[in-house]
Amino acid sequence: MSTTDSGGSRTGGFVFCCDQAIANKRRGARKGFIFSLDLAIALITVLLMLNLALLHFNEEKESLLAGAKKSELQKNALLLADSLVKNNNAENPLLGAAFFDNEKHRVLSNVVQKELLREAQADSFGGWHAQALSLKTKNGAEETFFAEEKQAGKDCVAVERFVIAGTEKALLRVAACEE
Amino acid sequence: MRSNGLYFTADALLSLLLLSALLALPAQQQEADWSQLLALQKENDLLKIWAAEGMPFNEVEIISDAQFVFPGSGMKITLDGKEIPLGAETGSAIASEIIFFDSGMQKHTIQLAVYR
Repeated sequence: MSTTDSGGSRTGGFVFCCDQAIANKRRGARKGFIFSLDLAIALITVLLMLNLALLHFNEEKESLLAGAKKSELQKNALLLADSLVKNNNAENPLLGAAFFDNEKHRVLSNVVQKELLREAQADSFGGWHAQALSLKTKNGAEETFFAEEKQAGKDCVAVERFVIAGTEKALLRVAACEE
Repeated sequence: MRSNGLYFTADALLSLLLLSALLALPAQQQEADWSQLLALQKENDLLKIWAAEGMPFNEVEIISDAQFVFPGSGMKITLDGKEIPLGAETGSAIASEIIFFDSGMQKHTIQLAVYR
């Protein structure tokens, strides 16, 4: 056993041993506390990252879905307008109002019959429908063949094609809306 | 151990910053551009009708038709090599051409370019 008298805590080997042990324990407790706090902060940060990532991906998914729906509607409107000016369909003039030349035995593209257009009616095609059909001539005269009320919150797309209607040049306008 | 904990937290924060930067990048949206197809279809409508009207070219009527279908757009119409500019020719263009033969089997060409 040794003794020192320097004003320090060392007064004896046994006491030194205990003091050291207590000091070590306290230090360990501090280390443990700090480590736990850092670990907690890191875990919270990781969870926050995951949450942000999930929120972002969900938003992107919704945006892409909406874009795809709009694109599909545009495609359908284009195809309907194309069919209208290139086909002759007396049963459903909405799908074909082009003039059929009996002498040439063929349809004349972009030459439409007003009589057929006047018989055209709004139709639904599963997920979307033809909302309006109209003709605007070069001299400003406009004739609407049918026009349904536009539903709030539903997207609509209008397509115009240049045609000859009777003896006049005109823009044939067809609008398609989602259901 | 204290410094290890600090590094661990700093790593997590750095990862969070990196992830935020990555998420801030807009996703690539693959949407079809149907407006170009529609412009092409309208150009073809004009060309078909002009070709059907035959010779001689009625330049006034042709210009009037083009401006009716594409109001406010810069265009260039070429009738058998003769260019008719209409409006500003800036940006990219969608162009179409039609070749037809008149009653005397003479070949004629009409080109139409619409600037976006």
